[in-house]
Amino acid sequence: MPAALPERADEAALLAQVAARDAAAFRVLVDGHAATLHRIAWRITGDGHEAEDIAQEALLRLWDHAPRWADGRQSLAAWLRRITVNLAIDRLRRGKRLSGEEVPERADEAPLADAMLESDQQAARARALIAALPDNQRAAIVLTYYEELPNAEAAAVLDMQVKAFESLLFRARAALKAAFAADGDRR
Amino acid sequence: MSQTDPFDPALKALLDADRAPPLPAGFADRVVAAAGTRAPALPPLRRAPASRWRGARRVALGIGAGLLLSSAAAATGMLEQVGITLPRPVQKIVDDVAQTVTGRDPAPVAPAPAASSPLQVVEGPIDSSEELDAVFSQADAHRPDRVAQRRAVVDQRIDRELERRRAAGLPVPSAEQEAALRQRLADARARQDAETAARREAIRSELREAVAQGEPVTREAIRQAREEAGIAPPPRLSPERRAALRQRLAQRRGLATEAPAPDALATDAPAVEALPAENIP
Repeated sequence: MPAALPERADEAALLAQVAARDAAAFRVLVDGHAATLHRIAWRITGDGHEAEDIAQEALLRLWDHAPRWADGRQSLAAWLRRITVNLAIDRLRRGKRLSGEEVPERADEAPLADAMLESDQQAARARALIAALPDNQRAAIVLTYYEELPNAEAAAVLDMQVKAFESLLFRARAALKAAFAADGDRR
Repeated sequence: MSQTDPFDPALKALLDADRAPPLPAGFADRVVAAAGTRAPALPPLRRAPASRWRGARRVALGIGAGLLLSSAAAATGMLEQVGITLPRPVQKIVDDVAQTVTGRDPAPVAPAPAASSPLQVVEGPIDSSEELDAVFSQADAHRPDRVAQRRAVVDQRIDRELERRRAAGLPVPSAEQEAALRQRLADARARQDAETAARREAIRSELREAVAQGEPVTREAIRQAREEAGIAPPPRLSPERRAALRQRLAQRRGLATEAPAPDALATDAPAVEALPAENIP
């Protein structure tokens, strides 16, 4: 169970302590944010090891950046989500460059069909549908559907204007519905 | 999961079935340990504090660079080449500065060529002296370039032939012989120019007279008159005719190789062959 996120004022005090290289304060922030960052990274990349690596890197960047943290900027949670999404999309694109092809769908990681329970089959289908989306659309669905962020916050995470994000989200939902319908037709 | 998403229940159920795995055990410990061993971040880049003089400094640098470039362009004559003439006092300052910097006198710059007036195009028969003069002016405007091109080709052939002979170890005219040859060529060209100009003027007088008497002149009539006077441009040779001429030239070169003689070489040079027969003294 992840620790409750600290209040904004407490967060600022913790950041000041982290800036002074206080490992205990850093530990509090890690406990408060790690689960969310790991979850976002996992849903975007579909890889447990990558997700762990990305979450760790995002938190270590916070450690690096704490001495330069300026009060009044966006919330720490939003900043960390943004770093995480960017790292995850970078990993996806780097993987495509290195392999020269699309990232394999998560269905590859699923257990053999004859051994799967129905819930596992459903989860594997859902992962395959999400993985088939383009990177930005995938991030938009993860942030708004799974993380339940408002459009404005999700747009800020992706460094987009809200209108542009809404257009992206519309396309992502349409693609997801179409893929779901096509998947249903095949079954 | 969100209850406000526009997905139908079946799709929502499918998406909700996918649950993220929990955070691995000991993750926070590993992150904190990694932070302790992480190399310190690089310090932020130093930047001079914002100053209202920074913008002014950039503007001044830009103006200075522009002045420097334009001065260099003026000193090297580039502005004159593109038709920009500086006021005389400014040009004098530029020349003085260039002379001081380079230690050389400023090179005389050729004035920009005056924009030539568009040539009048005469269509159909020529029935007035104005039209006739326009046709003559058109021909006069193009003649220097054409003559220069033909003579440049002849000069290139002379140089190539001399080079070929030197490379082949064949005898070549001495410097004095070559100078004499070139002088003969220049004299022949001068004579040709004078004779052609006289013949041309004679034709033009006849044509002017014809037009004055109300007889329209056609271009075909002008061409025939030039042919009769021997000043029409040489006809284009057919490929077969050119091949025959090349073969003949090669045979003559072969003979010259067998019996080399400086005088023969001098008169055998293609530059002399390229001239019309009547121009060879």
